[in-house]
Amino acid sequence: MLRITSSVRAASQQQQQRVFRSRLLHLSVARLNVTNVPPTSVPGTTSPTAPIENPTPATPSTPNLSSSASSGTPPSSPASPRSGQKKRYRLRNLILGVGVLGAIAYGGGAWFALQNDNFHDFYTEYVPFGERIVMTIEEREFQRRFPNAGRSVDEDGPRVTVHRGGATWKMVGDEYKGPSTGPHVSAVPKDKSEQKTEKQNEVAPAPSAKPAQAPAPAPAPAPAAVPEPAKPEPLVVKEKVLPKLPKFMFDGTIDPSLESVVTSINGLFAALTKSGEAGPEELSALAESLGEVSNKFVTLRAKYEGELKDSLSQQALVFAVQSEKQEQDYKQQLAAVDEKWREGYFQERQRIMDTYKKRLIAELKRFNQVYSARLRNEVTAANVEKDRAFAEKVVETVESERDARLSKLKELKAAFEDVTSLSAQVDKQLEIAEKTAELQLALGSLTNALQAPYTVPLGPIIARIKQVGGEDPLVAAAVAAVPVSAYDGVLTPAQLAARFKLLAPEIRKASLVPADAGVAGFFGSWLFSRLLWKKEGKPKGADVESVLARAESALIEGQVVEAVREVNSLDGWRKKLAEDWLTEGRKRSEVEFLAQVLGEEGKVWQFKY
Amino acid sequence: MSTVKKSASEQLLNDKWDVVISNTLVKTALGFGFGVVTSVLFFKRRAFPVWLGIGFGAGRGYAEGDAIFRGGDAGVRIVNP
Repeated sequence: MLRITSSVRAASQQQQQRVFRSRLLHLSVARLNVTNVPPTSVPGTTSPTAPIENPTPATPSTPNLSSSASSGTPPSSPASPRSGQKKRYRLRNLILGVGVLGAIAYGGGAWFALQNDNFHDFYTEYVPFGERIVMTIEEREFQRRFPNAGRSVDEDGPRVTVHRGGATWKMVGDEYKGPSTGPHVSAVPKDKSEQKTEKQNEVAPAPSAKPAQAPAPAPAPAPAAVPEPAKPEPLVVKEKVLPKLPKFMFDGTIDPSLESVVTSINGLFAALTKSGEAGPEELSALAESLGEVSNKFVTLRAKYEGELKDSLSQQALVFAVQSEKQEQDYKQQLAAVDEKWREGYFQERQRIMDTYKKRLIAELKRFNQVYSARLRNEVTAANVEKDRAFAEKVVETVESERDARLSKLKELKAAFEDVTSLSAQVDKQLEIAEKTAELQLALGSLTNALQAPYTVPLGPIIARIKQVGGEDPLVAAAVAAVPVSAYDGVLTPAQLAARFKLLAPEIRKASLVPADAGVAGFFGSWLFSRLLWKKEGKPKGADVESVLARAESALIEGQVVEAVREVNSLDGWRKKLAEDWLTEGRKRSEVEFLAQVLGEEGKVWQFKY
Repeated sequence: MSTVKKSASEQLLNDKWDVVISNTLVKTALGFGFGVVTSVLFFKRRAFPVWLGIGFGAGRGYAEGDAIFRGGDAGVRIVNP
């Protein structure tokens, strides 16, 4: 049994290493194709082997080397053909490898190009022959899918053949006989013989002979049917068309002599309704009856005419006698009436003349009276007028005399009134001027208070302004607009600037705080805000540093309003930190603004009246 | 009766930081204490309960700090005047 201890293990390991190293050496030597390498006996191979392994001369580890070493075969001969073979194999292997790898790469690339569009573009553009490969593959695929594409449609479908119908063509040359006598030339129906010859004659100058024959027999029977004349048939429907004629009834209202006429008419109507024809016997009966009636009528008329004439002549005689008598009577009566009237007329005339005379006399008398009275009146009126004019003249002179002095009095009164009004105005102006001066004083004190280097309580000043200028609505409004907290005084710009210097670092600490921040946000802001550039002057920008710089420079210039505006533009935590400063600043800017307004108003007051 | 003097608005964050830091320290210390006690009593004086306690305390302090900064008043005991 083998007993291998650690030391022995180590020794064997060493030996194995040595063996390995010798093999390596040998191989490298062989690679270098050095032929004259003596089969060196590996040092230490034989001696330790015997006690270690079975004391057999052949050990498993050594035989390879020892055989090769002791075989005595020259190392050069296996070395050179081996190297040459290896060289040949190397080339072959190289070519094979390149070919296989290239095929794999190309094939894989082509397959991937078919899958991916981007790779397809790259492949077709940059890889040599890539496009050809891909196109070939695609064409094959296409052919596989649509094997019939590109060929004509319906190659194997139902074939449609067109009958030529015996239509042949022939060169139109000397055999042309002129236009055929078809229906397109003349509509005269053909004889049967002609039709037959045309049918049999295949050689026709026009290929439309055949279709021309078809319409040729067609019009032939048609005109035969048409020219049958239609006889006008007699009207047989008269019965239905005629109205039913009435039958006259003889009921006594008509003269009995017309009885025959009535009967004949009835007969006629009956005949008409029955047969529709008026026979001659009815008509003659009617004519006879009508003739009888007319004869009767004529005789009656002659008789009556004679009688009428006789009576008329008798009457005429009687009337003539009577009229003569009446005429004489009338004449007598007329004469009597005429006489009476004449007498009456003369009496009346006389009476009228008398009355007229009397009236005329009375009229004259009255007129005289009236005229004389009028004349008297005129005289008295003239007298009165004279007196009045005289009195008027007297008054006038007195008055004119008086007016001269009176007008002077009026002037005096007007002047006096002017003077009083002027003095009142002057008083008023003085009052206004006094008030203006007081207001200016108060405003001056306000301005001084604002410009003082320390805080001055503004309450009494505001009160004084109110007292002096309270009537003016603008002054009153401005005074009312002063915030109550400003009555104790407002900070000066210097004080505000000092406070801002305390505020700015706090704002800076919070300048990078994100929204809804916690401990980490605030800590980060504190840390990183220390890395921000500190700006000066009036930089543009909306970040915190720019705002602070602008506010700072505004405060240095003394423009509180600007500074307040800038600080007001902050947001979030920064604004919250600046709140106190902002209220103070706002107070100050409000009071400044109102003071400015009041100053302007005070200036305007001077020019008010 | 002591009145709380209202500090200027620019000291707002500083006050909050004061509260947060002090609160965190106190809570961490408390956690440390509890951790020590627990470690001694139950865990054979091993190290990990102490660390655990410190972690609890610091975590509580951090969370309450977050709440304070976000506007709540966790961690602040309001005494009725």
